[in-house]
Amino acid sequence: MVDLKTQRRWDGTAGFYDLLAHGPEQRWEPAKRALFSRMRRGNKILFAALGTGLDIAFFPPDQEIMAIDISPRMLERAQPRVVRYMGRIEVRQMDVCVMDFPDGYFDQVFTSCTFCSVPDPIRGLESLHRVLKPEGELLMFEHTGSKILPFKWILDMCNPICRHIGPEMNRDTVANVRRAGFKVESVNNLFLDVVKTIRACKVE
Amino acid sequence: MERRLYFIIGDVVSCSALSVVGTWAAYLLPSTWPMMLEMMVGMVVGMIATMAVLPVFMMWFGAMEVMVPAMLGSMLSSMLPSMVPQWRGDPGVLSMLGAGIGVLAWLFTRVTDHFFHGEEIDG
Repeated sequence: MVDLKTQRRWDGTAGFYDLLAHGPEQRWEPAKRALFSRMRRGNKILFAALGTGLDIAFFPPDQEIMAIDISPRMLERAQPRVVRYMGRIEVRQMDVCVMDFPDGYFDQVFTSCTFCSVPDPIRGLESLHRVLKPEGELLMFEHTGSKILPFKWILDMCNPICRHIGPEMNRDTVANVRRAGFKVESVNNLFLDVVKTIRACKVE
Repeated sequence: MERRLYFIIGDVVSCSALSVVGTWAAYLLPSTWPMMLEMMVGMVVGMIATMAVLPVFMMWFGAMEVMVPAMLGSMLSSMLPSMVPQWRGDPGVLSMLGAGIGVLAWLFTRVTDHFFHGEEIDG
């Protein structure tokens, strides 16, 4: 069953999301391009939480990608970017925690600022683990909490306000990836230990 | 580590401006309170005021890269009015000190980032 509370929250954000995300997207462009350059033609690729499709500009061309998002309003806004992409993107409205893809269906799963906002991150990650093939790759661009003082305090203090309007600020996403059954292969810190890319694989 | 001039300038401007916001929000509290109480309440009020203005800078310069040092600067600068009551009479000096603390918070964040930046291969 789709998490309606989360869906409503992101539906409400869709109208002004691009305006707020302009700066972060410009800033993160090189790191996101590097991460998405790992998409391999011929692979079955899942992109979890497409949002308004801002990341599509950083996808390498000629890929076949299945993209999901919980918010129909976000996906409406993503549609022009989906059409302009020089490859094929199939879009479905779906909750990452309750996907209806078969087990072991995808070779690669990509996420971008997704698991700061999924209310039950371990359940969402377990769901991604299920749909990945054995030895399949999980590649994530995420922001997390910090272990460095005083930045840990700052993020902990901001979290009670931020979580009501959008993302959680202090999640330990790397530990959550491990808890969901993945083997974390590398973590690349892009800003402090807060903004990072994570590469993990499904081992059985 | 960020090397693009646009974002470096943006970070410095954001941190200094948002720290001034924190200082001014705390400045509006009554100066008759006990110092410790004024410091703690000032910090909370300053940080909340900074969070309200933060999206204006984030939409131009980035998300966590702006938020983390700006909130650190604001946390420290919003304690200023209670710590040094004689500066309350001079809003110009208070603003300059707030901005200075913002720049120092950005520098501290950048130096720390230098040590934590990069790839860790999992064993």
